[in-house]
Order: sequence, then C-alpha cells, then structure tokens
Amino acid sequence: MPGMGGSSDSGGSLVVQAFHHALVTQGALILVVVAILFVGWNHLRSLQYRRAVARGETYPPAEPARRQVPEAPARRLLRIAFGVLWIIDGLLQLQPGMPLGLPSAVLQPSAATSPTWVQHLVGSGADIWARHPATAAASVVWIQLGIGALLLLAPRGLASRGAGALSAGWGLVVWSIGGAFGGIFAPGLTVLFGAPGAVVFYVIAGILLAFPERIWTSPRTGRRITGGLGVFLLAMAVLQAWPGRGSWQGTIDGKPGPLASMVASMAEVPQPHPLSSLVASFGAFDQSHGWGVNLFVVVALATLGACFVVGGRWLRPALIVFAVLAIADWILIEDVGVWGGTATDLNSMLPLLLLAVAGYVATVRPGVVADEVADDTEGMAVVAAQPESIDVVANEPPANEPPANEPVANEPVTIEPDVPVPVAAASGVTPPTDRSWWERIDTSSAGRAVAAVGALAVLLIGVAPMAAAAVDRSADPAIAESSTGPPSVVSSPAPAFSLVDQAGHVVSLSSLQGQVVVLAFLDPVCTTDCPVIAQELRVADELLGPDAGDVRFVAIMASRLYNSREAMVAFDQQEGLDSLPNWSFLTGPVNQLAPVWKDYGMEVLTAPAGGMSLHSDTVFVIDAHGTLRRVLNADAGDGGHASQVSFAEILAQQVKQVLHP
Amino acid sequence: MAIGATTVVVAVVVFIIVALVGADSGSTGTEAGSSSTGPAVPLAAASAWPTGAVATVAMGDLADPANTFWELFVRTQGSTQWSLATPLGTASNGGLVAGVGPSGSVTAGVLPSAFLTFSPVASSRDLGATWAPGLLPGALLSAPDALATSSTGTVAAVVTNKKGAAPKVVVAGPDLASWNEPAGLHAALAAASNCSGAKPTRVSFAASGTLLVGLECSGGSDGGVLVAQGGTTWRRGEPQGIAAPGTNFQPLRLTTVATAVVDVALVVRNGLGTGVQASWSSDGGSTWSSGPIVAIPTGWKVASVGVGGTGVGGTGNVRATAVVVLLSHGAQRRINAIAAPTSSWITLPPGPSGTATAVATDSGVDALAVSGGRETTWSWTSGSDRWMVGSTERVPIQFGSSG
Repeated sequence: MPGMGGSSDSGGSLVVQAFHHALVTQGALILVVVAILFVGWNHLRSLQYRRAVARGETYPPAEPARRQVPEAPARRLLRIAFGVLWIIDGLLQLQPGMPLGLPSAVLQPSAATSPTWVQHLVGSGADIWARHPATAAASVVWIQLGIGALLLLAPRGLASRGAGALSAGWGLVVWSIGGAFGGIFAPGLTVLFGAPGAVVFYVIAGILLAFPERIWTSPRTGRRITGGLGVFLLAMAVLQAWPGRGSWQGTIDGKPGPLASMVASMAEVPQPHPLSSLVASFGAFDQSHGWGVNLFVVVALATLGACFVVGGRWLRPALIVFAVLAIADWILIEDVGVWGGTATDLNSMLPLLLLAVAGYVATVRPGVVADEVADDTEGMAVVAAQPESIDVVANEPPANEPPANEPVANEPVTIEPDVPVPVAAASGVTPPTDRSWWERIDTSSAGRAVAAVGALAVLLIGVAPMAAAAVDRSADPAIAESSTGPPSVVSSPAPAFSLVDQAGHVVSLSSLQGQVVVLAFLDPVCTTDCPVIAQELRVADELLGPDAGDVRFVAIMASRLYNSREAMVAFDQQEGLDSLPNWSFLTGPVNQLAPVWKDYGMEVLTAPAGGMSLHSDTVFVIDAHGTLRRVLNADAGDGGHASQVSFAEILAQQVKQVLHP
Repeated sequence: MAIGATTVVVAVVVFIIVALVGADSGSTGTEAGSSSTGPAVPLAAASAWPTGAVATVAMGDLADPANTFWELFVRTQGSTQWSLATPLGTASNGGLVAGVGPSGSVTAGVLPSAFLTFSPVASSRDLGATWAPGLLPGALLSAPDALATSSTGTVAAVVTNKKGAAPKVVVAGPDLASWNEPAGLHAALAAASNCSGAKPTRVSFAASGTLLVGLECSGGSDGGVLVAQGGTTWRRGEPQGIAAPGTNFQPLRLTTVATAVVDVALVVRNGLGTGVQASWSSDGGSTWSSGPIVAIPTGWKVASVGVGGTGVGGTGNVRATAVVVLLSHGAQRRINAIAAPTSSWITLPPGPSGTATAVATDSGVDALAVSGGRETTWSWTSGSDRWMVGSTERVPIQFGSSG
C-alpha cells in the first residue's frame, strides 16, 4: 500500500517452503546418483570376483609390491581444510533467511559503496537470485557441498587438481558477484574487517591445488606462499596507516570511528551473549583508544609482513604470532562471521591463516614426488622408488635457487617420474593382455574415484538449475505470493465508472465491454508502490503475448491533489506506459473520483508532513461482460525487479484464466 | 631474496596501495544537496522577508532516506512561532526547496525520491495555508534557491533529470502549467566568459521581476550570476571582487530579500570550502556591495544559510538583509551572522543541539532544531549571550510510508 510501507518478508514462508522442496528434490536426485554409482561399483567388484574364481585366482588379488607416494603435507592440509570450509559454507547456505535475504542483506550492501560497474555486476547476480530465490539458494548449497566433498574425496590426480580448479572458479564467482570483489574498490577497505574478502583466499588455495602436484616437492612453493602473504600484510599495514581514512580515530565527530562502529554493529547481531559482550567490549575499547589500537595493528601487520617476506628463522615465530592475532581478529572484529541468518562464510581470517600454515608446512616439509604420471594412470599402480617423506630443515634459502628439479641441500631429492605398470603385472599374477578393460580396474582405488564422481554429481546438480535460472527471465510466483497472498476468485458486477483518459477522451467501463479489463488505482506522484505496480502491469502485458490484444489495462487516479491530466502524462512517460496501445489512465474531479473509489472499496487519504497519498494496492480483473472475476493484492513487497516480475506472472496467469475460462 | 623478486614485491606493494587508496578516494559519496563542484551544498535553508519567513529542514530518521522527510515551516510577521506548512499529497523524502517571492508568495518543490523521476511543485499565496499543485518538467535541482517566485506569481526553476543531465532553467506562469526556457539563456550560458561549462544552479527574481540566474563553473573558474536584460539579452551580474579571485567560488544562496531598498542577496562559498561571503544588491543585480569573508574552521561545514530579517544589527538601508550561516561539526553548531556589507560577522552563542537552520527575525535570530519528529524553535536576541527555547511542534512524521 503506498504510504504504508512494503511488506517484504525475508523469511517469506512460501519461498522457504520452495527452498526446502528444491533441497529435498535435489537431495533425492543426488541419492539416486550415488546409489547408481555404488551399485555399479559393487557390480563391477562382483564381476571381477566371479571371473577371478573362474580363473582359479584369489580375489582381491594379492597386494602388489608397490608404494604409493603420499600427498605432500601442505597440499593435504590445504585440500582438507578448504574442503571443510566449503562444506561449512554450503551448510550456512541452508539458513532459511538465505533465499529472500541474500540479495538485500548480503549482495547489494556489499556493493553499495563500490563503483557503478561493480554495482551493476553484483546487481545482475542479485537479480538472478531474486527472481529464483529457492532454486538459486538450493543450487549454491549443492555447489559448495559438492566442491567441498570433491576436495575431500579426491586426494590425487586429475580429479584433485580439477577440484582445486573448480574451487578457484566458483570462488571467483562468489568473490566478484557475491562479495563485490571483497570491497577492494570501495572506500574504507581494511584487512581487519575481512578485506579483500574471505573467498579470495579460497581462490588462491584452489589455484595452488590445481597446479601439478610436483610444485609441492620444492620448498620454494612454501616460500612463495609465505612471501606473498608478507607482501599482502605489508600492503595492508600501509593502508591501515594511511591518513584520512579514519583508521586512527576511535571517534569521529563524536561518533564511533569506522572500526568501533563496525564492531558495535557486529555485536548487535543475535549471537551468544558472552561473545557479543566480548565484541562490544572491544568496540568500546577501540572507541576510547582508537589511535593506540591502530598503531598496534599497523606495527603488527608491518612486522609480520616483513618476517614473512624475509622467511628463514623468522618464519615460525611470525606464524605463531600471526595465528594468535588472526584468531583474535576473527573473534573480536569479524565476530566469527556466522551470525545474523545470512552469513555465507567464516570470514577471512581463518582461510588466511590456513594459507599461512600451508605455506609454512610446504617450506619446512615439502612433498617427495612429482606425481604427474598418476594423472594419466587410472587403474594403474605407481611404483615409487623413494622414501615416503623427507624432513627438511627450514633454512635461509640460497640467493640463487636452482630450478625445482635440481637437488639442493636440505631439500628433497626430486624423483624421476614413476613408471606405471598395470596392477596385475605389478603383482606378478597374470599378464594383462588376456583381460577385459573392466577386469583391469583396481576397484579398491576406484572406490575413491566413484566417491569423487558422486561429489562431482552433487556439484553438477547444483550448477544445472543455477545455469537454467540465469537464463530464465521469469520469476518465481512464490516471491509475490509471499507478500500478497493468493488471488481471490470472485463473481459480481464490476462497479461502473466514466472518467477522462490521458488523451482527454471519456472512457467508461461499458465502453470497454468485449475486453478483459485489468483495473488498478494509481497516484502519479507516488514514489514507491505505484511505479512498481505500473511496471507489474507493463510486464504482465508483455507476458500475455497475443492475448494482450483482448485486454485493456486501466488505472484510475488515486490522488486528491495531483490528479491533473499533466500528472498522468508525466507518470505514463516515466513508466514507459505511453507507448502501450492498450493502456488508459483515467481521472476526473475529486467529486467524480470519490464514488468510484468507494464503489471499489478504495480509501484515498492525504497524509500530512511530507507523506504521500495513502491507498490500497488492489488490482481487479473484470471479464469481457463487466463481471468482476479476480481481486489481487499488488503490494509490491520489496519493490524489486524480482517481485515485480513475479506478480506480473501471477497477474498474467489470472488474466488468461479469465480470458479462456 | 633475489633482486628481481624484491623488485616484483615492491612493485606489487606499490600497486596494491595505489589501487586501494585510489579506490578509497574515488568512491566517496555525496550528501543530499551536493553540487558537482566543491564541497556539498546544504539543502536546508531559511528565508525571511518583511511579511514572513520560511524554512526547510530534514526530519524523521535522518540515517534512513526512506524515513527522512523534509518539512516546510513558516512564520508570519509579528509571530514568534513557526508552524508546519509542508505541501500535501506527495512524499518529501528526496528534499524540499522553497522559492519565495518579493510579495511573500511561496512555491515549494519536491525533489524526486525512490522511483519518481519528476518533481511535484505547489504554490501558495497565503504562506502555506493553501497550496495549488503542479508539476515541473523534470527533477528539481537539489540546491536551495533552485526555485523562485516573482511578485506577479511567475515561477522559475532549475531542473535536471535523475541521470544527471545538464540542468536548465524553466519558467511558468502562476498556474504552473506551461514551462518554457527563458529566451537567450542557453546562448548566454554557452558564452559566459570566465566560466567554463557554466551550469545554472540558482534562480531568483528581483523586485522588478528581473530574473537572475546563479551559475556554477567547472575547471576551477569562479561561479557567477546572469541577469536578464529583456528580450534575449543577458549580462554577467556577479559582484566585483567577491571572494578571492580564482578560488572557484560557488553560490550558496541567491535569493530575494524584498525589502524596500535591497532586493537580492548572494551568498557564496569559496571553492576550498574555507570561507563564506555575502553580497547585496539594491538594483536587481546591477551593482552589488560585498561584505567580509567569514572563515569556516577546518573540519566544519556549512549546514544552512538563512537570508533576510533585521535582528542582527546594522544600520541604514541594508539593515533588513541579514545573512545567517550555520556551521556544523558533528553534533556541534556554530552560527555566524552579518547584517550589512559594512558590518562584521558576529559569532552567536553555540547553536542549540540539532539546529538545522537559522534565520534573522526582527529582534534577533531564530534557530530551528529538530530531533526525530520534534521541532524546537530557539531564539537569540541581539546582544544576548544565550539561546532561549521558544515553541515546540510535534510533526506527524509518516514513518514507514515511503518504503
């Protein structure tokens, strides 16, 4: 109702129901896929068993004399940790506030202070989400669970590197569209709040995992990670020290400074009381000691940055201090990141810390084999000739490092690519040439591959509906019904009217007989609902297609003051209605309008003190014989494009039902 | 580290810092009523003339644009009380500009907000008791004195659109029905000397009905005034020697004061935002007399400018044309006033909390302080060292009505 505010409900029950329905449906589909994979795998094992028995062999075959070289510790850490983080993020997407709340509570605010091009980019993503909230929310759940599962279940080979690439790719999507690039183009950027965005660290981790596994055999990889972290911290120190950004002030003009106000707002989010008290206390401390807090932050960032860049013996103490400070920031400033109902991740400090730890581990305990060959040896065992791991002492690296493949003191000896041999040959049981392809599959390792394929299926089950939603320009009717309720089906004579249209012609209801009339009441100087309703009518007209020729869209003036023909013309131009051949906006003196308002149950009130005219947002559908058939609440909800299109979908459906009973 | 790696690290650090700081400085928002050049121009304003006064202020929840409502208050001659007179029938969230005429007629224009793209206007000849509605052919520019009314009821306005098109001046009769651009103004703007990219931002009518147009210029050049000469002729009419040359001064107010001898006042701020100066004209903008500059302390900003009234001293013909400048710094308020070109600025006692605008009365200065939906009038009497609380009005703010 104009003048009465919207009725947007971020927890709109219909949309949440649709979200849950999508989750259940897609979850069932995933179960089916996993079951099929399991049955197939089990069937394969049965076939192999029968064939082995028929040949008089044992099954499973004797374990070949082989040694699978273990995954590099740092890579394993990154893979498992970020796999778990993606799963946590996926589970956070299950929150019921996500379908309707994410665009307005997360996407748009994240871009609000960014440049226009960022706002447009984020807006395009928010629009897709807003038009298909249930589908999009469920898709993101499965995509993130799928990536997490794939990272956890595919430790080696192409599948594992692919999981890293998928993690990086999806992370880029989330970082750019979901997080407005972590706010790097917006003012007030600070690492303390999470800049440059948690997901950018997921992207970095994903890229590292996507590289060939041999990069982990050299401590140079670890040094590059810790060195890059050092550069990042140094840059953040300079930014934090930059004057004029408010970083040095606990209060500005008597109000809390940027850090104190952010922390205070975090403390107000519903959460366990001890945590909110702790966060609020820190906010108060910063408000009174803003300069000192920032000095500490700048010094800490700069020192840690320098230590990470220099490396060597400074690395371990720097990592320990960084871990303490990162966890402190995560608790006291980022407030753990999961509260509020629309939190999407654990914020930046944990993934940043994980990268730092991985860099340290890669430096002091690199892997021992370049396992590139394994990528191309599905069903093959890898015979490794080297010890499983070699402990490395973290020393200052030489000024001119040799290439990665050259042995260096205190570094692992690089191993020549392992020679793949078929399992059977390795076990010395039977030559492989008389075996079918399916007999040569090592089902013990294939089990993990099957699980990875299952994880990939989970991911695809998320991606497919998201892709479909992106190209579907319609909107889910549940969005509008969440705020407007279902249309009312009625059957009574429509009250007559005779008024003047925007061209000065007299238009009466009887003159419109033979056409279905969609009737609304609009105020031409209304700033909120009426322009939205006008767009809903315009979109419904488009959705009607050829049927639009049998429909007349009519609005009756709903203002006691701005009821001139000029006002209607200005409104029509503003809303692009002046080019619609089946559009009429009708007005007249208040003494002619008032009986029409009354007959249709409309109350048009003039509010004081800068308030707009008050009237209800009802739309009527009148059939070709002048009988009232449908009454719809057109309250625009949040007024967004999604709710407009959603209502237009409902209206067009109802008009078609009246046209073709 | 190897030298090459060090160079890369330094380059990356420099790049990150430059990029981030650049982003920081390039995305600063502007407040309501901002201008394209210099610091933001406040929309809150007040004007007084011999038979009354009007003031426009923002009320409600100022942190929420949808619950910020601009209100118009009026005070009749002889009264000490301001009363609510906001025009009805349209939402005022975007802002409100009051154009006053020498005869005391008032036109109020509403800045578009939310999905509205054009400006409703309403004119009143009885100081807001009744309003006649109309529409502008576009969006009213967000600046005080973007709207003016002549003694015959002719209305001038500076309009633009929501996409930031170049503003233009339009004029209509008292019925607000048919708007036209003044003849020759477009060419005069294009030919304006020492004012590259001249944009009209203020309009005012002298007592004679002469239309004056305040200009802002780009490229660091000073603003100015164009004065209609009849037919299609316009001439530059800004005061000589106002502000420091080359400081890219910016008009804050250009408004009629409608006394017997002084009819137009121009208040400008230099481009650095460090000083405010006022000029008065008694002959429709042909000649001007400028007063001294009042400095704006670092960290303070102009919150409102009130023009008109007699109560801050001064002698002779210019006594009835005070200029009152309200400065703000967080919650602090400072009020400076000047009565005439030959006077000095006087500093009033610190303004009451929440003061949104101030204007001279017959005996001193009135400050309108707002808090949520409550407006409180504070009065300062010439020579006093304190503000005395006057009337209080509870405004029925329509919270939640605009989304």
